Amino acid sequence: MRNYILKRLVMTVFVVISAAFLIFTIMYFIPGDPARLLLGTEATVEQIEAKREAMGLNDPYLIRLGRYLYDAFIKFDLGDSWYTGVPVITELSNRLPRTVFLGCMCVIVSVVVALPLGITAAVHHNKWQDRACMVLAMACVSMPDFWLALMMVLVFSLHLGLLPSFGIESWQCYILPVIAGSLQGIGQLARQTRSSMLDVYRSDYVTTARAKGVAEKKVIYQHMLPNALIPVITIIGGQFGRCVAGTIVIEQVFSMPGIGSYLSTAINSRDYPILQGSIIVMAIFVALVMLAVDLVYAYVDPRIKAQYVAQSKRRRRVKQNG
Amino acid sequence: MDKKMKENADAASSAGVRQKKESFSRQTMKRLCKNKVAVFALIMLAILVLLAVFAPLITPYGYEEMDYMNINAGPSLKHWFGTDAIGRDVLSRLIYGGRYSLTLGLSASLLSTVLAIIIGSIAGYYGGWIDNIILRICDVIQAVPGMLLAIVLSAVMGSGFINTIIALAIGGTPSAIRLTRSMILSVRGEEYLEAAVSINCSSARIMFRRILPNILSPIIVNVTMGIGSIIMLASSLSFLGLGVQPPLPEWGAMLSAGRNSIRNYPHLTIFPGLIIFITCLCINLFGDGLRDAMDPKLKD
Repeated sequence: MRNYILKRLVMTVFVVISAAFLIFTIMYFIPGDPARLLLGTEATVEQIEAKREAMGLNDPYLIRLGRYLYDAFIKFDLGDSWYTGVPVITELSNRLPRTVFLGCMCVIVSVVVALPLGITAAVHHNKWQDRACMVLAMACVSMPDFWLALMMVLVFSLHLGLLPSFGIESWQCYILPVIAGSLQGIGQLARQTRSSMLDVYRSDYVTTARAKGVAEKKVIYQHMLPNALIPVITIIGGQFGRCVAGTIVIEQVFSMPGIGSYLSTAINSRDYPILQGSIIVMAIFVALVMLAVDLVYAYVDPRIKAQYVAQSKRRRRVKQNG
Repeated sequence: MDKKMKENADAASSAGVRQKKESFSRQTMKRLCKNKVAVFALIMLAILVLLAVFAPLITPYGYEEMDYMNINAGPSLKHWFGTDAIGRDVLSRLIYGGRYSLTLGLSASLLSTVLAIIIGSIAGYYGGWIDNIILRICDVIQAVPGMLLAIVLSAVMGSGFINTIIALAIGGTPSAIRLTRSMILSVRGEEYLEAAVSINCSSARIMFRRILPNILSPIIVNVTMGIGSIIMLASSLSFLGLGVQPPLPEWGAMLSAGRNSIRNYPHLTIFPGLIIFITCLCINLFGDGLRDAMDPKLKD
């Protein structure tokens, strides 16, 4: 088990650094000269050259990459905004909790809604309940979330005046964003839950339980569900990534001051340090969530543990023989 | 003698492949036709495609034609879906927009699949260090969530139709590579490959004539489902101000342009979103039906 955790930790570090490397490399090829962009069209060639030198833009790619990674991971410095001069990390640390909160709420809501949907569909396999649940799930997967968000604003805020359409002051502000953000998750999780419930439906232990005369409810919730949930956990982990990335659009619609709206303003003003920093931070967050999910997975699924125990036993045996 | 034998063997085996493929596709069609939902989705998609292809013949107005007497007009007999802020007919723009949105989805999905088939076959067929390197590169790309990668790529490459296709295709490639690779690994030990090697087929021939037809069905399903998710992703990009830009009538760009006047002119937002929703729903329903038809074992 220790080996497994260690292996996953090393992999996470690799993933985080390579994500930063990838983003930096892509951004390196961005067209246009940042120095000229900052100084405006009036600047002289000497001024631009001095600015380029000061920003370190004249250094070769590898040195800039090394400096960026060093700054980001050792000094926790992601650079400053080109226009406001505020360090990106300061702004991000203010905004990250809001985005993470929104993302977590979306994941929780999608799990709470999707599991009953998926279970109902699997239990009533090939009946009308199954079809209704799956059509609903398919509609959730196919609906653009920002469009649903806009439509809900139109109906509940502008016409009925029931809920606020922007801001983060009260809990009511979160209702519409969370519904819009959890939509995709509901669809995917419900479909995955259904198919993994159907997978375990025909397994021997379920037949045994039925043969023993265990009540149907007990068979479903105590024998089938725990086993069916194992693959679902991985999907839930993936949902975190989706939700956090998806909040970019949702926050934009509801004018919530999270990472997403910071990012979309940066896109419009071409403020690249913000773009780079926000995306790296989001990727790190997603990688950490995936790590947590894998560890939970290993804890829940005895097969993974057994695999590692068997491996180390085998190694010991080889050593003894050798 | 030797040459002739090889020719005969080739002819026999390729004829065998073709025959099997034909009967397989006929079986698939038969199963697909029984699935009413999938057939309905396919018909809807066909209508959408036909509308987009014959847009100039069908639309009452051009997509850039302005009607100054009707600015921001609601739905009426003259303009079924109303007009936008500079008097352009929304219905005509949506029909023309199908050209951009559907082409975008299809070409990005195909591009990533073609890349994935080439790279994935190399990884799966040769194995060893090439496989390892390709997988690690996939790991690196997949470390960044798809939406974020698409944002960065289209910010760097700039907006525009072709650039958006490339940006969206790159994000989908790693998972398609993994799919192709795993499918190849699953057929690697089969006898017909051993036979192909023993009659001295070249590697390329084995890959593209022997292996590919046998692993095609999950890849086709992947392409189909990919189109839907790429159309959604593309519309999110346009919504953020990246990707395809106005005045091109791409659906996401139209939605984004209409959202500032949602209070007074909601029809500018409702109809583009609705058409994205209907298109993606049909693509997904058809893709689901296709998967069930191609691999009936998976269905239950």
